[in-house]
This record gives sequence, structure tokens and C-alpha cells, in this order.
Amino acid sequence: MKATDGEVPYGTLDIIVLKTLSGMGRLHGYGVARRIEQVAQGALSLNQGTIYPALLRLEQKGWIRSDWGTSENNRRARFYTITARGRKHLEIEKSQWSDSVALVDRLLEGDS
Amino acid sequence: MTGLRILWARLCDPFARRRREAAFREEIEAHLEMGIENHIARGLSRKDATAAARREFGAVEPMKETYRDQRGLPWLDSWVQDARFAFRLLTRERAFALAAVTTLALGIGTTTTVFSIVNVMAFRGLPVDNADNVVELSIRDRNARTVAGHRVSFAVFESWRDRAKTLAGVAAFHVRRSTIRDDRGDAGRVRATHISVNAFRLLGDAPIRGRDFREADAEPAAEPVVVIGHRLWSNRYGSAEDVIGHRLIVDGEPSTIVGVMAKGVRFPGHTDLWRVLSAQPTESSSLRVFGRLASSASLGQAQAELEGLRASSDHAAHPHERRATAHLFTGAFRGEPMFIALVGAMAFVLLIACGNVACLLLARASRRAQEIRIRHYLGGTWWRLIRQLLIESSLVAVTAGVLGFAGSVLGLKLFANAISAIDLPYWLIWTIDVRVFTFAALISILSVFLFGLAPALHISRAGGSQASMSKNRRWMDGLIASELALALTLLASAGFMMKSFVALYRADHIVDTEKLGTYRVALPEDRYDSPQARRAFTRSLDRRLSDAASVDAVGFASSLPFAGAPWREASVGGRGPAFKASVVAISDHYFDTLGVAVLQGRAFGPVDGTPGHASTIVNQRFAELWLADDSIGQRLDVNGVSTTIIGVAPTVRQQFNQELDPVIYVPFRSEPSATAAWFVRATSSLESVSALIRSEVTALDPELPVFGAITMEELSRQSRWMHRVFGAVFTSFALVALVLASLGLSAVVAYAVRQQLTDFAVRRAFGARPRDISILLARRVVPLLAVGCGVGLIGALGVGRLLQGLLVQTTPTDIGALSAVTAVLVAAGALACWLPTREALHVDPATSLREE
Repeated sequence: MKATDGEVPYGTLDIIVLKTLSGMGRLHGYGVARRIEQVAQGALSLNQGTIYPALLRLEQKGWIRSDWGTSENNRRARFYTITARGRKHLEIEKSQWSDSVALVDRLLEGDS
Repeated sequence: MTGLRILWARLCDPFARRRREAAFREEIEAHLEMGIENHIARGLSRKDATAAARREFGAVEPMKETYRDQRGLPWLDSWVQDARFAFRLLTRERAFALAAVTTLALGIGTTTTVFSIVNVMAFRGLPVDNADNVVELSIRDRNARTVAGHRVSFAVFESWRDRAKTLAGVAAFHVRRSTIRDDRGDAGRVRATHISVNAFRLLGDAPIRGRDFREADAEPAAEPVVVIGHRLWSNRYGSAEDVIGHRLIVDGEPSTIVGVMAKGVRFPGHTDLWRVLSAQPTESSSLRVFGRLASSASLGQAQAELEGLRASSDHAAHPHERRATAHLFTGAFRGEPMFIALVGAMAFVLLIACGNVACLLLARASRRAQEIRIRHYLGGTWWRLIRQLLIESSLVAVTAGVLGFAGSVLGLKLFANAISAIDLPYWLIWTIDVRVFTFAALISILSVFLFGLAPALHISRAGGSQASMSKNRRWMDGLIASELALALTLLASAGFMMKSFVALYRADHIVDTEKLGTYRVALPEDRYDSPQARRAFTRSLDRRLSDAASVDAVGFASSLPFAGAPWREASVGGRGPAFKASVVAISDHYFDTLGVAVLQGRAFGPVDGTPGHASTIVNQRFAELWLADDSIGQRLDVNGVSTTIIGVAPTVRQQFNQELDPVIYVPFRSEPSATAAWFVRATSSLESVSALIRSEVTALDPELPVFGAITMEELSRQSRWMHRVFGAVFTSFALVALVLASLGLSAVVAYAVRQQLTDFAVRRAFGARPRDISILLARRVVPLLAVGCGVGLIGALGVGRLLQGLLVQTTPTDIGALSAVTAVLVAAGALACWLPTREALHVDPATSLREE
């Protein structure tokens, strides 16, 4: 197995988007996609379009909310903001994530 | 919570689809535009920048698809889609949609109308709180099934009231008519009910003015008090507040009005005045009793307890032939044959309607087999296809349900108007309620499954193959034959009722009703306690009226014709079997006034009925039944009194039965009853006569009321209400059924013709004549009609037996009625077949084959 094939690990896009919004505040879809690409520094080959279903999912769950505003270049764009419930959820996800990573680490190390 | 939020967001989606779709498109475009500008800023040309931005974004359409899938509910989405498709389909196939909706609307409309009637009669009960635990307590013959039962004695009532533990309260009443008079206008005649003092409390009705009865009012020494109804209050006293404490003389007894009941409280039926029930000997065996079940008790427990109490307190004869019963007020009509017939007819019409729509859908499904097969091959699951059919039937059913419900509102109104003059229990209030609405909704839903699911399942099993075609055919044949059978049964019930109605109508119209009015005058028994006094009064009134210029003829009798009469045992010649006959005391000019001529012998004269001249007149029916050729001069014993028959009159019935009833007339002067019916024929108009009779009665005795003024025409019409109203109800049912069954048959034939068009064309090409084609089709249709008629006739016999008690001069095996309705059905069937068959006969072989 290669070090990375650049795919977003299944089920993690939602957390990544949530984390991005939590760090950056109010962002439009393009901003979220760009930010993820910058942070990943080329490690992820993200189809920018795939964040939209993720944004919709998060909004339906009430973890983020959206409103229409004007972008830096004066376009009408939809902006997303993380909600309090979203932050709380992110904390839970984060601790679960580190727990499972730690678990997998232990298992993998024990195996070698 | 989160799950709910998602569901809500998704549920809402289909309704804002267009707006959201546009917003999403705008969002994506903004995204791409920002990407492009970003790339341009880094030095790419516009063209390259666009390409790069698109590349980064990835495939747009699949993403949009994923997005949409998440956004709404895919299943809801596809339901909406299916519904739109079904709607488009139905608007395209207008003839089918119209036929299906009409059929079902008629079915639901008729059924809901009947249900709303049934609801009022059998479910809603008394208009009081918690009506469902009010029970009527009676003593009945061991096998009695009908309403008429034995009344309860005061002793039994007291033992039930004081000792029954299964009942939360027991009250009693009995109804009579009373004469009221006071200083406010003419003497009046009202329906007065004697009730036990706890009755209103038990029902939960409180007076709106004054007070309810108290225990003290029932003490033997108590001053008589009455509670009046709202109608009497407003009509007689102009809703005056000072009516409380007012003195009112009721049947000669000075009483005080202590309370006024609310509008609509007329317990137990059309009552305007309530008096206190007390244990008087005259009332000893005429009570009707009701109570409320204790919350812990069942009807059965109550019945057992009441029977035990009755057995120990009722020492009357026949203890073993009677038993105590407790039953719900609402159950009163449930065992009545007319009620069962109504409910049955309702079920029949609904079945026919459903069968019909099923046929229409089956025929259509066969036509759509091709389409359905293709959809299946293209990956449509059977579930999805069945759902499509169900949605189509739902659309039809909902439309039909709305129309049908509206129709039933109208139908109930018509029914209520038709019987408005009839004296029925007051708690029958002919209105629609939630229960009726629920019923209409339920049968609409039920019909969706009945007629939608059957063909759907059928298609799913057979997949529209050739085998399923013939299976379809068998289904449709079965449905149509059943429909024809049901229609014939309904036609027969309508036929029976109509024939009975006509028999009654013809029998009643021997009375000349032209300008003939009837009035009733009641003589209070306290002041007219002797036969002489009553004779004197009637003689004076007779003379005064006869002398008036506006009066053509005057007669009077103890009972109104058509309106019942007491029975007596009679036997001819002092030997022979004893039998029962109605007995009416009449004045000498009774027959003249009614416009009927005595057939043999003579009418009563001034001597008849005086001591030593015990004369009777019998009607023709009586003579046919019990007398040999020479009627006049024969001896007739009536309740043991020997009389001589001096005449035979035409049959004017007193009541209806399977046959017109035998009547014995006795001279009024020998039995002057306190209440008499007066018959007055006017020379010009009846209005002047009504005023005249009132003024003449007042002139003779200002305290006497004249009441029950009604024209003879109306009286005879009202007496036939049962046959008229239910004859009309059954006839409309039968017509609906006939139309529906014919439609169904027509659809089946049309379907057969369409399927076999090529076959016919080939046959025609090889020289078959139109006649041969007709024979081919007849082979298909005649067995259906034959089976339908056969089964239908069996049903007709059953219905006839059920209605037997109501039929007049008509038997359940009445050949005339049965052959007439069969002829109607066959004629309608033939017509239904003829229209689609014409197409088959005129098919041009060349055209049809070329189409193939």
C-alpha cells in the first residue's frame, strides 16, 4: 500500500469540513475547499464539489448554518458558519477520533 | 432530535424544490467563478482558468445527483413523481377516469348517506353526556327481539331503583297527552311525560330557568309541579321570565310551573311538559325504565341482577315467559328488519361500486400490460409498479370520496325532509358528525385497497402475460356476475317496497280526501266522566258543525283511519274460531263524510247503538275472511258482547299489515270515547273550517283544546311514510346499482370486443356474418346474465323474507314483482352490451387487420 492514494478517508470529510469552519469562522463553499487543500498541502486530492453534499448533511443535522452574503469579489455566495451544537459535536468526534487512532496504533504496533 | 431535524428538512424539500434547485445552481456557479478568478489572478487565461476550476471541482452532475438524493426523501420524491404521472394518465384517459370516479362517488355517496342514517339511529344515542352508558330496562318475552316489550310495574321499578348495584341510577317515565289550560290563550294539548324526579339528574339535563324536580315533589301530599319544555315556553309564554311560579291546569289538576328545560331537551320524545311520576294505581304497569350502567358493570351483569330483583318483586302471571333485559338505547333499531335491510343495501351498493371499479382497472390493466412489462424490463420493481397502480386508485378514490361525502350531506338532508312530519323519537337528529366523515374516509381508503390492490397483486403475479389475460377475464366475469346478482337483489327489494306502497296507496284512495280535514277533540275525564255527558257533547258539536254553511259533511270516530285502532276478539255466530279485529266507534255519517258508500246493508242510523240495538258494520276484508255469502243479519260476538251485522263497508284500513286489516265498526253512541277524531269536509276551503271548529268547540266548552289538525290527504300520506321513504331509498339504491352493474357489464363487453377485434376481423374476412359475431359475444354475456339473475333471485327471496313484515299484498315469492325486476335487469344488461357490440359488428376486416 502506498503512503497515501489521496482519497479522503471514508466518513471523515464531514469532520474535516466541520473543523475547517470551526477554525476559520464564516466561509463559503469555495473557501472551505481551498482551506482544506491548503491544510492538506497536496496530500488530499479533493474534488471540490464533494464538499457540497457534506455541507448539506451538516446543515441538516444542525451543526452548521448557512446564509447568503457577498464574497470578496462581490459575488452573491452562500456562507456557512458552525453552530454551538456543531462545536460540541466536533469535540466529541475529535476525542473519538484520537481514541480510535490510539487504539489502531496500539494494535498495529503490537502486531509488528 | 437530530434524526427528526433531518427528516423534517427532507420532508419539506419537495415543496420548495424549484427554489432550492436554483439556489444550489447559483452556489455552484459562484464556486466555479471564484475558482476561475483565482486561477486568472495566478496568470492563467480565462479559458485555461475555467478548465482548471472545473477540474478542481470534479464532475458536476453526479455531485448534484448525490446532493439531491440527500436533500429530499428519495421515496417521497418518487411518490410525488408517481402521483404526477398518475394524474397525467388519468387526465389523458378521461373516459376511464370519469367512469371510475362516477362509479365510486355514487357508491361512496349512497353508502355514506345510509351510514349517516344508521349513525343517528344506532350509534349516536341520546343527546346527553356519556350517552353510551344509558340503558333502557324492560321486561320482555323470552324470545322477543323487537322494540315493543312489556312495560315495567312500579314495584319492579322501585326495586331496581333502590337495590340495583350494577346501575348508577334508575329512572322511569310514561308518556301521555294532556290538556293544559291557563289564562294565557286557548286550551292546548301537549305531549306530557310523567318522569321520576331523578330522571333529569340522571340524564345530566338541568333546567335553564327555575329548578329541577325534587324528591319532595313526589311525596303524596306535595303540591303538583311541572317543568315545561323550551318549545312550550317560547310558543305559549313568549319566553317570559315570570313563567316560573305560573299556575297551569294540567288535565284538570292545578299545577305550578317550576322549571324550563333547554331547547332540544324533549326526553323521551317530543315532550313539551313533564309531570312528577308517582305510584298511582293507573300507572302501575305502563312504565318505561332507563338507567346508567355503573362504570364497573357490564350489560350482562346488569341484566342478571335486574332479573333477580324482578323475580322477587313481580308476582304477576307468566314469570317464566318473561325476563328483564337491559339494552342500549342505540340498540333499539338494530334488530329491525328495515334497519338490517338498509345496512345490507348499503353494503351491496358499495360492493357493486368496488367491483365495478375493479373491473375498469382490470380492463385497463390488461390494456396497460404492455407498458407495465416494459417498465418492469427497464428495471421497475414490482413494488414500484404496484405502487403506481395504488396511487392511481387513490387519486380516483379521493376525488370520489370528496364528491360522495358532499352527496351524502345532501342525501341525509333529503331523507330528513322526507320524514320530518313523522313522529319518531326526538333523539334522532339527522345531522352529519365526525363519525360519518371518518366512515366516508375509511371506505374511500378501503376501496383503494379493494379495487387497487387486487388488480395490482394480480399483475405482479402474472406479469401481464397471456395467461393473466384469461385470468383477468375470469376475474371480471366473476365480478360482473356478482354485481348483476347484487343489483337484482336490490331491485327486488325496491320492487317489493314499491308494490306494497302502490297497494296501500290504492287501498287508501277509496277515501275521498278532497277538502277533507281531521281534528281531534279530547274531553277531560273529570268533567265528562259519564257516557251521557260525552254523547251530549259530541251530539251538540255535530249539530253545530253540520249547520254551518262552510261545512259539507261531518263525521267522527274513536280512531283516525290509517292510524291504528284497538283490537278486540270476535267470533261469528257465537261459535267458530275467535279472531282479532280492529274496532272503531263511528258516527252515523262517518262513511258519507269519508266519501265511501256502504256495499251491503246500511250505515248506522239514530237507533243503532241504543239499548237493544247492538249493531255492527264490518269492512269488506272482514267479510271476505270470516263471513259466508250472506253477511247481513249475522250474529257477531265482540269481546263477548253479541251484536248484529247490519252492513258491509269498503275496506278502509286502520293499520297496515301484510294484508289490509279486518275492521269492526260499532256506533259511537254506544261507546262514546273521551278523545274523538272529527272529519269535516269543507264546501270551499279548509282554513275557514279550522277556525270554525275551534270557535264551535270553545263555544261549547272554553276549556277544550282542538288539536292534531291535519288534512286527510296528509294523514294518509304520513301513514304510508315507511313504504314511501324506504321505497324511495331502496329504489334509488336499486337504480344506482343498476346503472353501476350496467356500466360494469358494458366495460367488460367493450374489453372483450377490443381483445377480439382481430379475431372478429378474420372471421368477417372468411365470410362470417354480423349475426355470427353477435352469437360469439352473446356466448360470453348470456352466462353472466344468467348466473347474475339466478343468484340475484335467491338473494331476492332472502330480502323478501327479511322485509316480509312490511310488505302489503306482496309475498317474498311474488311472481309479478320478481319477473318485473328480472326483466328490468335483463333489459339494462342487453342495452349495456349493445353499445360496445355495435363496434364489433361494424368492424371492417381490412382496416382492422392492417392495424395489426
